[in-house]
Amino acid sequence: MKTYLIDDDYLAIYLTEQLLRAEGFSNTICTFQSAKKALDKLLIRARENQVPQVVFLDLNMPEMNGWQFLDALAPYEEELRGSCSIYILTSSLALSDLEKSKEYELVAGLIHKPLDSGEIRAIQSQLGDGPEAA
Amino acid sequence: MPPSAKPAPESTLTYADLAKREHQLSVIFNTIADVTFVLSVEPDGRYRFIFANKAFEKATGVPVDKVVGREVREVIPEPSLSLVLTKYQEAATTRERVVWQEVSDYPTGRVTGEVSVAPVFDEAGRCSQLVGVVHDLTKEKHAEEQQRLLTERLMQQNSDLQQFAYIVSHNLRAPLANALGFTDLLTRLDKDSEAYDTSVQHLRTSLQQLDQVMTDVNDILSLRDTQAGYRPEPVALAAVCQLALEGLQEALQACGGHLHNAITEGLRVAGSRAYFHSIFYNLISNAIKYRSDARPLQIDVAASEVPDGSLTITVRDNGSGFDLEKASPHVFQLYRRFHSAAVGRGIGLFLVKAHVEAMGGHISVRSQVNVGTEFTIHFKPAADENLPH
Repeated sequence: MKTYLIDDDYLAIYLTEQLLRAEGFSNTICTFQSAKKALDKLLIRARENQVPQVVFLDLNMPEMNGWQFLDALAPYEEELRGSCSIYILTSSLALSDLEKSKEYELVAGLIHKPLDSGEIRAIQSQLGDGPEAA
Repeated sequence: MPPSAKPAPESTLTYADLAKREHQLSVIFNTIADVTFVLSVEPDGRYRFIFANKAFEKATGVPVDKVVGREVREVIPEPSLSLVLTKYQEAATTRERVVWQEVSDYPTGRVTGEVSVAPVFDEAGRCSQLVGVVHDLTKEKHAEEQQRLLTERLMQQNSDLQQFAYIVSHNLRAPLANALGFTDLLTRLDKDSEAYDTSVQHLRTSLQQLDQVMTDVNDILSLRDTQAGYRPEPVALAAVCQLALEGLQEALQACGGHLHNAITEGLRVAGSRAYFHSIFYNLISNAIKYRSDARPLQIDVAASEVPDGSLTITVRDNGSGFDLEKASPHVFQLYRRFHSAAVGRGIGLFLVKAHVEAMGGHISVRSQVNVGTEFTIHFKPAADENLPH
């Protein structure tokens, strides 16, 4: 499953990537420490019809935060729907973030860090995709 | 019967009685703290003072004998004159008491008063006199204003604290979540793998970050504590700036930067030496951190004092700048960063603002991407120092 990991915190990126690998979630994980760069890449891939199936998106980032990333994707909602599921992966426990996430159609769920194996499996079954060979 | 023969009860009063009553009345009027005056309404619509008490003299600085017998327009200057004439007119035509509030600059200072003017009628029912009383509200107004400022400050502090709690909880949670995740991951990794060693390292880093947040919280809380005992002292600004620079000299030289300190040598400012040191240190270290790779860093520090006692300090650089429109409401917030490339925890500007405000100043910023950033710190001559911090 082609996966994007967007988080400005390199420790969180390393951790999530390792956890995903340990669960055999994906063998193509692209990591981005800047939401802006991830956005540019995703839009290029969209033109080639090669969008990632899953995006893990952090919220609290400098320059472009998670919400701004989602807002920037809004015009492409139509073509991304069904092919690209975005999971917000945040350390925030604020209820307001959960409420806000429901306003975005592309957001498939909000997960509190750290990601655990239960959640990883839930996503796999949600996307109808069993564990891949690493 | 001829009218002169009619025995009127008043006629039993002797001249001495009248003089005694007159004296009593005058004692009463002159003892009253409120400004009291009587105007005669002349047939041509002019108003003339026929009585004024001692309080009138005290408030206006005009002696009573210079007032009585004079026309109102000779005594009261514009712009008050137009207002009071309208009000007198209103009292005379509506035949009702008229009350309004007025701010006047008397020789004794600015006075906020509640003025009340009541009409007096003669036997024919014509409004012949106006009795005016000015009740001094200056103290009440001042207390009200202090109260308002205090409330404003409390509300601001309350919202600051709420935000502080939110930010801290978030910034505690981020390294904590990482640490939890790494402990989970470690149980599943081969102890001899490279990933295991890296994860142990990262676990350690996460815990150090957690500790750093606790240290920040402690710094910020102790800042609030020391603020309560803050007493301004004369600070030699140029020397403090130079001292702050010394700690950063190495970093400045390493990037080939240059700082021009244009603060006049002898300039002394009332404030805290430690706060000014922190302000210069943080602003200069930010300028070094967020310099532009496209040109050698140039930092300009200046201070200008205006004769009225206000002071402006500027710290300007030609660094990478930031998008002020996007960052504007958050520039001085705790743990806010605007440069993804460079390191920074987002506490420097928060402290700078706290220190500036603790000394009664105000800080603002202008910035342009790829041009540079300028911080301006302004101190008013007498920032409301009577208010508790």
